[in-house]
Amino acid sequence: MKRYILSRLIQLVFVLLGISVVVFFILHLSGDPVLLMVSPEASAEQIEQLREQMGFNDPLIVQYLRFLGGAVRGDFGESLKYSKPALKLVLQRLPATLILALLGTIFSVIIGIPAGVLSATHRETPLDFIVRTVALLGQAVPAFWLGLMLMLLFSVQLGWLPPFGRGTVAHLVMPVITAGSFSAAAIARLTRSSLLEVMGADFVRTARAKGLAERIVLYKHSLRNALLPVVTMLGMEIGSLIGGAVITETVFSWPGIGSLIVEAIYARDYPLVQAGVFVAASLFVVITLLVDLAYTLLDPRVHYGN
Amino acid sequence: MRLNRRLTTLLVAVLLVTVVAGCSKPAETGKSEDTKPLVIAMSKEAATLDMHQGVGTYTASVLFHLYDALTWRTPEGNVEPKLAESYKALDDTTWEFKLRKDVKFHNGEPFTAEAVKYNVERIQNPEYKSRLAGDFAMIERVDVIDENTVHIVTKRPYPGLPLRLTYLGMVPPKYTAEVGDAEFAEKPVGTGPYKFVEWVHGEKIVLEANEDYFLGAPKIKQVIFKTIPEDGTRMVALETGEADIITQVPPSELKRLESKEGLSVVSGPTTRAIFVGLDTLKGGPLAKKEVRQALNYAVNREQIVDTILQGLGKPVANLVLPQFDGYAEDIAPYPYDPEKAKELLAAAGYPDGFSTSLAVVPGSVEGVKEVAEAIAADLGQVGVKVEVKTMEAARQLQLELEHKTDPMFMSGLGGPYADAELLIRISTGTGQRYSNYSNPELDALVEKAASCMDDAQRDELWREVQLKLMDEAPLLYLYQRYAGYGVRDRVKGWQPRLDELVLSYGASLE
Repeated sequence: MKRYILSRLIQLVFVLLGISVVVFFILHLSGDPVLLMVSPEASAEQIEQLREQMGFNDPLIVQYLRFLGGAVRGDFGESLKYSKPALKLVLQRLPATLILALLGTIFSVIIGIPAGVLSATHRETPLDFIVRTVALLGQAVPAFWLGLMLMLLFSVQLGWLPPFGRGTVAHLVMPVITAGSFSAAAIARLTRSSLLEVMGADFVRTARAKGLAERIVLYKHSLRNALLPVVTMLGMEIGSLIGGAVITETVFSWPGIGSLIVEAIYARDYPLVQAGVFVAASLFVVITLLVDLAYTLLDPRVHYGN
Repeated sequence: MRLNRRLTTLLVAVLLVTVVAGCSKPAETGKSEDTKPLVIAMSKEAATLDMHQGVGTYTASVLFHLYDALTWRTPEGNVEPKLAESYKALDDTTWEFKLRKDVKFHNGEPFTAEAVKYNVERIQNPEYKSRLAGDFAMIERVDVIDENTVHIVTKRPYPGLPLRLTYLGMVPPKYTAEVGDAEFAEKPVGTGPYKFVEWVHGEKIVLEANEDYFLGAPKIKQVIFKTIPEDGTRMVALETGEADIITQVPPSELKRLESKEGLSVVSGPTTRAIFVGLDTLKGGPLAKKEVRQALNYAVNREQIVDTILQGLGKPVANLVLPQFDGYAEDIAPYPYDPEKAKELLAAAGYPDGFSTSLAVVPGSVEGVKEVAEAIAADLGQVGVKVEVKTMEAARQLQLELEHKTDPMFMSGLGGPYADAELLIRISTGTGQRYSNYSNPELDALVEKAASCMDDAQRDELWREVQLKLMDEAPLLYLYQRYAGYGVRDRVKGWQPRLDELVLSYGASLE
């Protein structure tokens, strides 16, 4: 097991390296940030001077190595827009994204799994139909539409919740629901199909034949097995929420790293994009590792490294 | 499995309690209406609080709460003294500024002639890499005459100096030198009506009133700038009272907001001219002035402003806007005359029109995509088939600078110290970065007008410039942007400004 973890950590390093190469080269080939930084008044000499000072005239390889050298020390350079250390800006806004990702995931689990179970156990009844339709809508509805609709209802019409920003618990409600609804729907559908599959297996028939109560068959035997694919999906959902709840963050002006990275891309703020993508990617890979390790707790058949 | 179910129940319970506990009316703070801070919500966040690195109106709105300059622009756009008591030109290149004697920086440091010298030198210092360096490159040096008098010497005659100086906010020499640039950006100090309290990145910038302000303490005691990038959310924030003033109101929302209780839409002209850039340097139809004139006749500006912009705009004749120095009232915009357009096209050798494309960056200015489509439709009526292409902002900028853009592209120029010279030079000057036109005669004429220190003569020269701009038609002129702001009723005495800045001094809350 230890060797497994070690090898996974080494893989992590290579993955991050690969990401750094891709992000760096795509960014630098996509447009000149210096032009976006100066007023239209600035003369050609000044632009050239600024470009020289920022090191943009050096060959890309040199710039990349310089970037890599800094990155391993945690120095991603200064944000071109804010003139502050890029990593610091990202880390400042990271907690907001983490809260959204965590609560969004909890929300999706609390809604999704019971819904999926209900749907599976009451198969082909109206209840099943309702759950399946709502789940389909949940995956089909665009996040910004859902967010704005929630805002119109709860902020404008009812005045119950604040429409944007971060601060109190009330500020959390709508962003969490918006961020988590897609996952909730996906988890509900996966739980349902996974559970149905497991319930049809031989060992379940045996358990029933033994005379066990249906509740025990369901929760002690079936669900535990059915949840394995769901756990995998959860890991990926948390990961995508960490880097990708951009729409929710934008609609609710939630100060997370998703919207920070996107704005940085529009402004061609290389250091900030690089720092942001790095942090998000690292978290994603770590979470995937933790999810894989969680398997060993859920499924005693799974061993690593033997 | 029992444990799991208990856990699930517990979690659900916690969530429910949280939701219920969180459900309280947002505006309950226990304070009376007028001590609640003024909340200004814009679509982008300020980039920095260091005066000499700030470019762009979002940043400038915050900066001019904290800083003052020697001169300032009134909301209508007239240049008046601010930190200076008075000023006059001694000769073609020397200006004397007499400074006020009662001004102190937020930290108590007095504002003196030395400070003016320090500020100009800081901007021009190549090591400091000021983003404003290019804007003040025309200043040769500052001479300190006595504690309250400076002479600013320019490299060439420049009647526009007082206007340009409105953007040279003053920082305290001693404090800035002591703490260094990085620390200064974190804890800015100026002479302005508001002092810096805190900046939570991505969320808010909090400012509080400077009770010792030399023009009198501000009536509004606390101002908070919030960033709400999404249009819909910004409207909602205004409607629920979470924001008191919002910027960038989309034209499609104007009527709806107007009809709401508790708020109103206020609008005013800006220094921003919206036009279609034309690539005249690559041959083809656009290289011919008759074709360009035809395009100008073919577009129905009135209709565009009335229907798409809901009246938030004013058709213009060229780039010299009504509030600019040198504006000639009697030079009217190109009239809408599709027949004349067709005639001109035929005379130029295009009786059946031609095909071209028009690049637009949606969201760059209110309603720009719809305006582009309306233009394409109008031009189609006279035989010019236009394909409208949507582009991403940075990419379009790149293409424009490499002169690889579509032959036609939506564009706009303005800003806090914009004037005729700036707009014309940037968009039509020979060899200028953003210009796709070359006419040394026009350049010389503009240069002459912009350096003429005699008022009457200068007006004459600008008149000639405007006539030439009409005749040559280097651009497809459209309209002057009028900015729309959503303002809650409790804000009294707030006015939109020509320079698009959102300032709080002078307004009050009830």
